[in-house]
Amino acid sequence: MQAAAVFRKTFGTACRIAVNLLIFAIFFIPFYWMFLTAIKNLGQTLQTPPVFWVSKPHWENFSKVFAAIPFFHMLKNNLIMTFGIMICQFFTVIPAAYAFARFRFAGSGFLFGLTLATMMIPAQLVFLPLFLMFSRMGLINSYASLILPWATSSFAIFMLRQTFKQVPRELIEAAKLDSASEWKIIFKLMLPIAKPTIVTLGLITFILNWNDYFWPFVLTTNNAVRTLPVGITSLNIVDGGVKYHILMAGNLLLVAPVLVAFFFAQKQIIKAFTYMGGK
Amino acid sequence: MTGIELHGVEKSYGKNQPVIENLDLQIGEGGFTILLGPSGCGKSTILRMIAGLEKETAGKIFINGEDMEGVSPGAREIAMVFQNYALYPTMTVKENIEFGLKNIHVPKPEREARIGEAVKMVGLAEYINRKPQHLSGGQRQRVALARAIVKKPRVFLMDEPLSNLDAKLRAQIRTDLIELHRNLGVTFVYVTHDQVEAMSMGTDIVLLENGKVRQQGTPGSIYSAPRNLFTAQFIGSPPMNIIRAENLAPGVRLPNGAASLGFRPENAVVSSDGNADEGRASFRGELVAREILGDHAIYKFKTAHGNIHTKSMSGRVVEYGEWFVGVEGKHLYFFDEHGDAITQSGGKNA
Repeated sequence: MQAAAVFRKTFGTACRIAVNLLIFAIFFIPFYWMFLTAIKNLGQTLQTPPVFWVSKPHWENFSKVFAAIPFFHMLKNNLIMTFGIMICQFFTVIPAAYAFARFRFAGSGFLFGLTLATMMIPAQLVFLPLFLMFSRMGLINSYASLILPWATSSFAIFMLRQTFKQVPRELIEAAKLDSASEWKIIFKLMLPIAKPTIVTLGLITFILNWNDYFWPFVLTTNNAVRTLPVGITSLNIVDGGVKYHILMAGNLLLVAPVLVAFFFAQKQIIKAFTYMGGK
Repeated sequence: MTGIELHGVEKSYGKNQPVIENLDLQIGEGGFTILLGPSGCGKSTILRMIAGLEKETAGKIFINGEDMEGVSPGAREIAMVFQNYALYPTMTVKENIEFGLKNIHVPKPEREARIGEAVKMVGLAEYINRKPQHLSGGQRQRVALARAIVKKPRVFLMDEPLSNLDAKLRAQIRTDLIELHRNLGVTFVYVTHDQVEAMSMGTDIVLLENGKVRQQGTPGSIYSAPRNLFTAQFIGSPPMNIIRAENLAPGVRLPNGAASLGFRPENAVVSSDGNADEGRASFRGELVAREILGDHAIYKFKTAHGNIHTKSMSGRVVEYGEWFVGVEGKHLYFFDEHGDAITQSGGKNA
């Protein structure tokens, strides 16, 4: 009996470790492959069967990236676009979510429904009219054209509204009895409670826009405000022929900030999905 | 005019039937007034209207003679303790207590002094830098109390503040609240459905049913002179025994207009002798259940007139079997067909 129990326990542990390893591999191998390709030379990238280890890393691939595209200029554009969007969303999403969560006003249900409905419109449907609109306003090749279309987010409004709604009514009433103004209730009470959600939403916005390729590609015709993803893609055609190693070195430089951001925010993200309110 | 006064207050939600209709209520200054009643009787709504958290549909509310019309909750100089404590989860104990003072721009040295005083009063000094989630239920309740004390309000409002605590802690905080009320000397208004809390802490009890005041008075008067069946049956544990007149034996003499007779379980005497003296009521019944609770015992008898409960403090244990339950005339209550109390002579019991 005891031997069977020991076997069952060992077998269970082994299965669990195996599944964990598999999940780890699914997420890790693409990153490893990207890193590996970034330090190979052209010959190694095309080699069959592929090699899974490079003894002499070609770090010069990274300097080739800097030489091929105006990397720092595009990085600056990327930062301006991404943080511009995040700042705009901070000012549009929080008040909207708070109003939808806390106030009943004429048409509030309809407006909230309308906000949710915008999530169902496919991007392909709106990009042409948006492009025409921006081009008529003379905003092509400007930061405004990169930032304004994403200046708010119905998904973020929805998520934050749900978080605000979870805050017990008595907390707000207690704050009112403590002579707190509506703004004070928002900044001293609601936002700190919603911090994990706000950090998570901020990170999602950051990743989505940092890596966004399509919109910056459509709305720019020269390098003035082009962002890194557009620039990295153009590495595809450096000196003719596909240079996978240069492309991957560029990609590695592109995703590094995202990984760093995730590393610092992971505690808050876990909290956002487990937060149960102040009871 | 001091204390709290409600004049013709009405409250309804949307187009529904009003939950409170034409309510007149006076809450004396410096008293410990209990709003007592079953759930859904409107007691919390009354408290929330006094706090300004809900607007009365009609009528007027005065606090110390001032009309509260249009006065925001924060400007009413009141403090409220909620059932779920409503502590700010992202702030420490100290920040929780300090928040209200900061909002009304109390200077820092005075803030510190008042916080020190309040946490000492509730015995929380060592927990001042903790967050609420790291405190027990009883400690959270004390933080909520300290947060109220520190504001030095004219009125303390409490909405079932003990109902989330276990029985032992409830008993302890009950005595703490009595002490606190005596120390502060300000008006306390306390909402509860628990008659033990009401009787033990209150100096004045307002008994409510369906948004109406059924009786208001001291715990003693509410217990000994109930004005109606509702009061008689709400106060007391077990509640008053009520026997309909038509179920009584023909020999029992009732005042004119009496539709039912009542007596408290603690006033009934169990004996083997059924001979009733003049004015004494006696019922024959079978003991069907008994609860021995140490200092007292509760018995349930099945009689021809319905079930009767008795409560004995004598320590003598009554054996199962046939018994007589006797009540002296002075312990009998009579009610007319509307449930209003009447005296032995048949007059209204004012």
